[in-house]
Amino acid sequence: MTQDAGGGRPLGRMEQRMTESELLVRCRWLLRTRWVFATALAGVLALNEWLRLQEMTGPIWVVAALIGLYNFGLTAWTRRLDSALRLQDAEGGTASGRGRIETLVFVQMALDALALTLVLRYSGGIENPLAFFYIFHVTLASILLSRRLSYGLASVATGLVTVIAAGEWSGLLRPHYRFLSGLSNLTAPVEIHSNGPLVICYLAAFACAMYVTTYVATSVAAQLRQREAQLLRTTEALRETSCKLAELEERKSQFMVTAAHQLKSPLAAIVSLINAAATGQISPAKQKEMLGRAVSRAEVAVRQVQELLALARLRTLSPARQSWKVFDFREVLDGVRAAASDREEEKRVKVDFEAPAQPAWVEGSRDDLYDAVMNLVDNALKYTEPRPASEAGTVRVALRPAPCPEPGRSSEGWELTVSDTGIGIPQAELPKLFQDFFRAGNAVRRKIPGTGLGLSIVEQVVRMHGGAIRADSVENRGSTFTVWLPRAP
Amino acid sequence: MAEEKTILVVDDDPDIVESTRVVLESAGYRVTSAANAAEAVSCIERQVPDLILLDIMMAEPTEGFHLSYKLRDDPLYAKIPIIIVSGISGKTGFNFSREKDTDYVKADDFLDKPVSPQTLLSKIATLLERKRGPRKPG
Repeated sequence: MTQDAGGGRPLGRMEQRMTESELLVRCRWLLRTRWVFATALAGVLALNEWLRLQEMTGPIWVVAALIGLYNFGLTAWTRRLDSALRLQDAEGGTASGRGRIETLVFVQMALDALALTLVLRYSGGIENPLAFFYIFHVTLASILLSRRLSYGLASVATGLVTVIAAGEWSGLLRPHYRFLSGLSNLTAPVEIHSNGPLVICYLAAFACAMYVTTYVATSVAAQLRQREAQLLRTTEALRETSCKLAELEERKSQFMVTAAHQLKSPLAAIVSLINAAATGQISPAKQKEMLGRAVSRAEVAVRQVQELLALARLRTLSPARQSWKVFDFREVLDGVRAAASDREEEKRVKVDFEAPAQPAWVEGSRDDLYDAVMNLVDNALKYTEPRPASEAGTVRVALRPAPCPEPGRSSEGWELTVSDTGIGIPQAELPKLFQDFFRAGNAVRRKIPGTGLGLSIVEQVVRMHGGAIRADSVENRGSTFTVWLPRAP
Repeated sequence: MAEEKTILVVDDDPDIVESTRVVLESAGYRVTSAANAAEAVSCIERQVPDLILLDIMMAEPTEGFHLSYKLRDDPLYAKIPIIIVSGISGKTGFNFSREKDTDYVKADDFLDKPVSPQTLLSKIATLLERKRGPRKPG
């Protein structure tokens, strides 16, 4: 990750690659433009040979040839850099290539400035109005390069013109070529280079033009870059959101297919049982048995629908906390204790409750938390098989203060454990335990009825309250579900 | 029915097994049942059925498919007609049919749960008439 040009948040690799590609496109454009310029310069020089407007054009021919020569070199450099960056991308590298491309662009601009200076030098010196052409270089540099390199190029241009002006004024650069010498008999000779104060004024105005242009152009370019980066980020965010939406849609469809299938199983059994009961060739007792089975399956289907609705409500309304209240969590345990006591005797399973002496304040939906705890206790009772009275199974429900078990969270809260001495859950199936409709293989094999939605509901309720849930189990030894809920503020 | 035919019902849902048993026994068939592929193999080894009604999703999601492949690959049992009776089309979106799916799904016919007694009995009768029963093992 690197910082973006505008100094905002770090750019992603995609954004980096896009700005690099943009710079490379501009690089190639510069290369093409330079061929046009070199050809145009040669054309003008050829025309000059015929019209004789400018004397001593030999050195300018050399400059035109040099421009063509270094453009070959720059073309090769650009291709090599492009290949290197593509290879890096293919290998999954994340290093930024922007610095290397900017160096390439800066070298191009500096060489162009030098070529312009040589043309200037051999076609009239500072009296030649071609000096205005430096504006093109600094403007282009300000658009393409960083602020530092843009000012660097403005300084290079100013320095080169200063060398010419100072050299010609001091007499170190001789002879002084006159601009359009072929026309000089028509016009009064302009002699700035030999007039010290004029040279100083000229250089001051030139430097001012270079730096002000750089300042204005870099400011505008920075704003544009910031907007471009923002646009890229927005595009990336939209793409991510679109992917997430597609994934959610896929999961929703999968959930609906699974739910429909799960509902179809009891319905298919009900229809089969009723059909069997209606055959008319079975005894009334068998008929009654078939219809009784159909009713049981219908009850399971109804429970499944109720749990599906509960899950849908929790998932849809999970952010809505307006109806939440601060309450003593021990009240929930009291309610669960009363409900569980009815089943204790029936199941020959002992249920022990342990709660702290002080109130256990939590904030949330009392009804949803009651359902969640009841679900866990119900499961514990269901999966703890009746044993001989002498060695009755045990379910333990304990509440105690505890810090948040998740790393990085320091909040205080309450830990509720529901342990049983039941059939347990196979180790390999523990990770799937909270998936919708999942049922452990040993429970299915024992034909213990269940919808596979209870733990999904519990997890949803706990998560909705900012809590955490964990399951530990040893097959045939028992399971422990640990729920942590944050203390009410 | 001159000869009592034996139908093996392989399904992990005891209500489906029981209701199918009632329908088939009322029609004069003898019914054996298995709740999974392993039990089914034991049943078949004890007595080769004249036809198998096979569920697909049992303890494993493709248990029925695997059993049908296993039986088709075994020369002793390859000729037992198999009808796949499953609710799998609801889950997978596949709607199996005898015309297009018997090449890769090793079954003679397909039925989607719940099946009406008339349809079930008619399919069984058609298959038993069309196919000769398998040789006895050994």
